[in-house]
Amino acid sequence: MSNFKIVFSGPVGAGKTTAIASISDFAPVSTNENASDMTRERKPQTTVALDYGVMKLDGREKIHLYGTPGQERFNFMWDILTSGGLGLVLLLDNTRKDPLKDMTFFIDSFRDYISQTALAVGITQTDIASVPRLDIYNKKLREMKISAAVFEVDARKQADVSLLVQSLLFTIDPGLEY
Amino acid sequence: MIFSKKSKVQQNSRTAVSFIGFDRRSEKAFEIFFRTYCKDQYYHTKNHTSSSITIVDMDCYKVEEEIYELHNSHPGRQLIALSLNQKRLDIDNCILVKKPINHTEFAKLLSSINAGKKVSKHAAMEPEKNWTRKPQETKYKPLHRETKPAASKSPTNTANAAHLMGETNENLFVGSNPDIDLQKPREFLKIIYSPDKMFQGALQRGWEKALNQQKLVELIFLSHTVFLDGKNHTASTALNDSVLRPMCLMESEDQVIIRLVDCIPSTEQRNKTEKRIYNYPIDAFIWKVSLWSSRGRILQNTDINKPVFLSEWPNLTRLQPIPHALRIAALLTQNPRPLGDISTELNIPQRYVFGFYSAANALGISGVSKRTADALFEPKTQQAPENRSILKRLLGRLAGQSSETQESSLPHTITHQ
Repeated sequence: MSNFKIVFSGPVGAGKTTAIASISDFAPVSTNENASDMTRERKPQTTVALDYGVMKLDGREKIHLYGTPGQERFNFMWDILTSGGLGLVLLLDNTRKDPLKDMTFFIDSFRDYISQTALAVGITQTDIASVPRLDIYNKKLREMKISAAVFEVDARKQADVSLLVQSLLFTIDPGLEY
Repeated sequence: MIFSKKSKVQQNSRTAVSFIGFDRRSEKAFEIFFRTYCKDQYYHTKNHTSSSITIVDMDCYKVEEEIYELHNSHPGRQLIALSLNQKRLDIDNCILVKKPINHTEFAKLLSSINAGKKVSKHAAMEPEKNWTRKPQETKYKPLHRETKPAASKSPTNTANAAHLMGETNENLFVGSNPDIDLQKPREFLKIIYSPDKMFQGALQRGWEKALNQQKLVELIFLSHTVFLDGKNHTASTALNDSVLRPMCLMESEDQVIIRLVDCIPSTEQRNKTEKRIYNYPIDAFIWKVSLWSSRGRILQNTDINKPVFLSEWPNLTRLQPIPHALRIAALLTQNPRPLGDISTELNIPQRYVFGFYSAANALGISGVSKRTADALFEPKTQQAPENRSILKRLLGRLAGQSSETQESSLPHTITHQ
């Protein structure tokens, strides 16, 4: 039996838990607790244990969906979490003060992992904050010499999250067929 | 991870590790690390007495007291202290590891400790930040193209893609043109169109004006109006798809009036039949109009043998879906390629590639590559990854999910007046 992993990352409140929930076969295992630091202003409760979901495939294989902690002080664990993963889904909250800086931070933190796997970027909350627009994110990615799909995403919508993950799979292998 | 009695025998051959200063999330991460990366050689115990190694988060507030307490009660205990700063502890058997942790190095460290090897007290393992992307395995071969005959392309493949994407009437967007023989220039006439002479061309010119001047532009064609908002990047019209689509197929020449306006007229000022206003993000509107106009064809004067580029992925969660769009985008963002080669490489009918290219070109994210090297070399077909069968099955699951709900999330809002 083979097990594969997709990692969801991004800042606090970007929708990682929700995104995993929208495509997981069961409600994700996650432990939300009252935030005790600066994150409280953005999200009264924040994930302090792993978000974990599963997609069961026909046969015995499973795709594990892991969400990293949003709080930056936990970033020392990311290398452990990502080992053996298929790729990274990065979710960015467009209402944050500087979402481009967030993107740079997360891509730099996962740079080695991304170079070996693939990246897809989902921008959330664009209905509340329409700027930065997607072309700005794409421009920044080109400056960073990163190739990735950048989509507007509503983490609650299964179709959005599904398309984002599909873009990740096609980035790994454009020859895949439905 | 707390183990039951039945696994006690198994535990005896493994090394128990306890933690100080970590929250449950971090402990869980280590448990996964032990189980997967270290092949179950270690396990997490909450009991410091029974553990052989204790890992400490030195960045945890007032953790030192707990460490010294542990050291006093278990003086021989091997400690591994993780820290962002080079905090030192005056304790034997304590190895300092600088965060962030590199999992390969950390596994080696644990293995060395387990094997009783001597380890440096300062195992700083911050990974070298090599920001350059690893060279892709794609190699280049001299240009020599052959076009697969159209008959070899699987119609099932496209039918599956269309069905899974929820696109039930794909002919409206990509037409029904059969593949042409790219070696016969005479056949090119079948696959070209002139957006400049159509509503699409007027739309693009109008949008350019609105964007450059950051103002509202009104397009008037056949007494119908479309408003383009350069500030908010939106298009508004009372036209529904059943009127707009035929408009896109007509030659408009100079019949479209493009003019700057101050505001969208109020309900009273507008035609009484215009009860509803459809508001689109401008990209979604241009994409849709371009697909309707091109119907699987390419712009006149496009050199079919020259590589085309895609500078970025279209925002496909908010655009009209067409089969194979994700595959084409993924391939084309890797390297510029001639349009005919994309169809051959992906084993799909040419009209999907042509339609995608025309719409992406209208958005300004695709065009003919001007780099000489792109025309001289073609990228070698990428080797299929070892886990392709898993990826394919996962794709099938995901595509099934997206087709169930995508129609409802298509990009426009309706304002009732």
